[in-house]
Amino acid sequence: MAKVSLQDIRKVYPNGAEAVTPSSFDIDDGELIVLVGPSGCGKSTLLRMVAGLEDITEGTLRIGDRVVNDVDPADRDIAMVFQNYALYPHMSVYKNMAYGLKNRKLPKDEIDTKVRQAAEMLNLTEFLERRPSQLSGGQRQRVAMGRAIVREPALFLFDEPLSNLDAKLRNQMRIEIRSLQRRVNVTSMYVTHDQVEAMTMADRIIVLNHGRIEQIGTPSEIYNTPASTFVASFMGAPPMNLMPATYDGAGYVRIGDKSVAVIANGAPKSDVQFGVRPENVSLTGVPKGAALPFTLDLVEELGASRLLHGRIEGHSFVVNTANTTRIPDGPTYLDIPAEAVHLFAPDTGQRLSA
Amino acid sequence: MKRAGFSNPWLPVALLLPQLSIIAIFFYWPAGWAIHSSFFLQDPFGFGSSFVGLDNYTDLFGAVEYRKVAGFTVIFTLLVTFLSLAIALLLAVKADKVIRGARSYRTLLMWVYAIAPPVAGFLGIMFFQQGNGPITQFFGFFGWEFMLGVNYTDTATAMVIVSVWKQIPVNFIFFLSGLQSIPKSVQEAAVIDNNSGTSRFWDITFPLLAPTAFFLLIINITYALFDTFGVVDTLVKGEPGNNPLTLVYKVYVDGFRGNDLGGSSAQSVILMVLVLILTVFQFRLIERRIHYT
Repeated sequence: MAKVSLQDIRKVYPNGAEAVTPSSFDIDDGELIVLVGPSGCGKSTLLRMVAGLEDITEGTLRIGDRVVNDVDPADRDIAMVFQNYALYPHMSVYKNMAYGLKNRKLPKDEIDTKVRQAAEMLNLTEFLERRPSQLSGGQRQRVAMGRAIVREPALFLFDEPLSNLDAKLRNQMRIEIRSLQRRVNVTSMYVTHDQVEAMTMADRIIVLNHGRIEQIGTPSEIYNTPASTFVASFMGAPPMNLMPATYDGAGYVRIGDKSVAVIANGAPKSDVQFGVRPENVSLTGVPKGAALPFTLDLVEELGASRLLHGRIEGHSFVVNTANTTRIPDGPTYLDIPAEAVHLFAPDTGQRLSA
Repeated sequence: MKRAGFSNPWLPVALLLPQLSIIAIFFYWPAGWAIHSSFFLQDPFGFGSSFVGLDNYTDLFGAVEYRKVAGFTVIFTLLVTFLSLAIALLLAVKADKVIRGARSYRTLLMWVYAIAPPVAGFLGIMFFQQGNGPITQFFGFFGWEFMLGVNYTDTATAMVIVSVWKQIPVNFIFFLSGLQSIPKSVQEAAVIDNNSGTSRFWDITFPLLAPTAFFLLIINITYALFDTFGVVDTLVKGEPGNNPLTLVYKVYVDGFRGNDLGGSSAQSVILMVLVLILTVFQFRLIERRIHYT
């Protein structure tokens, strides 16, 4: 258990490509930080630099009180769970878990106790003598977890550990990993491209884009006050509706010839990107007050909810409603509450409203 | 499940016929002849033969010369197999780590593969030539007066070196592709589990290369026993007298130089049995332990 701190960590590849721009953040003791972003955003590179599998071009990496930039991966007191599990195919489950301990010169009986404890915790006891090839995907995933746990490291690293599992197993393992991490209370870094995984598992989320940190925050901060249009459209499914509009500097946004009240906290009059989450608007059949006319094109049934695809003033717009919501037969209108509106700068994409 | 089949029962036979006839003409027929003639004593001028039973075989096992050749063949095979595998593995491990210019290194290392064994033997003669062969001169610096074709040990050394040199590229290609098929993440997991590169190699990399190594072991033993004929032939040509011979070369010397077709046939039958035993042994005993998937 330890605090981890990254100071201006930067990665430049020999061909000159900058995979990670100087990035700084701290991970508190026992905290689970999720790095999320599209492929190629540098999240894996960042994780691999912490693991020691990639060199750190610039910056300082501390695990606990120790600067570990030039420490061997095996001596960094970390354990890593890989996307394809990376189990040793020629070793039994037991040996897979014991290998790291054996190399740390632990006495045999101590290794045995630790491996059996971990196996017990992960329901792997009956599989200890099997080879990885004789296990199912979920079981292999658990062996990979076990191999990490027995090390009792200062830091767990997860590199998209669930992306090789099917949807059902993924949900189950997500909960297992989260509860296990809580129980052993080890500081963790978790990389994923799946925003649902990020939202459900993280204490704090770091959203990355093009090797740059877009936002660091708790899941609710990320969801409720996205720092940029990138975060707004990346986190949340379906993504936030974004469209160009003009802010009049006095609490109203104009879209086409319609106005919507917003809470803008004194932003000046300017062109903006207007953003609303699909689940924060309501559908009506009556054009009351500031309701915007909504042209409905397509209805997608998702079971518990419905996605309505349509247009507002020519811009495509998605509405997420409960399956109990009645869809009016005639013209439809959207009621957009002022507190649901997010405003972003049109050029930089940075957040304007509070 | 429905099994695919042929409507005409003769079609599969017709399709197999070319392959079967090649095997029959070039293997079964001569092999049968060899077994047959190993029980006869042939007239050197081809005027007939007389049945002698197992005499050819008992003569062989009683002959000091034959046992000496057999002994040399065993040592030669062990040395060539071990050295060519070990050196190729070392080169492959190093080449696997090279990033810049990797392709050119690999191509250069593979070139030797394209050289035919007799040509390799001829190159060997040039290198080991008495007086002005570069390797001979190199050995001369250390006071070793290298005499190819005259001194038994020196000729044997040259044979081993040329044979190993010729075989390294094949092993190298296979080891390299074997190394590259080991998942990178498994190697990385090992890096996190173990800080010693050497012990990582023996704990993780080498066991995962075992299927490749096993396959190469068979290939190399077969190579050293049989395919080195060309090398041996070029290096000892003309003066087999005091020079080391392998069993295969002795079959040729006795049969076509000594005109002892019966004895030579008996030798090839023995070799055939040897290969049979070797193959059965390797596939039955060793392969069973080296399967992961």
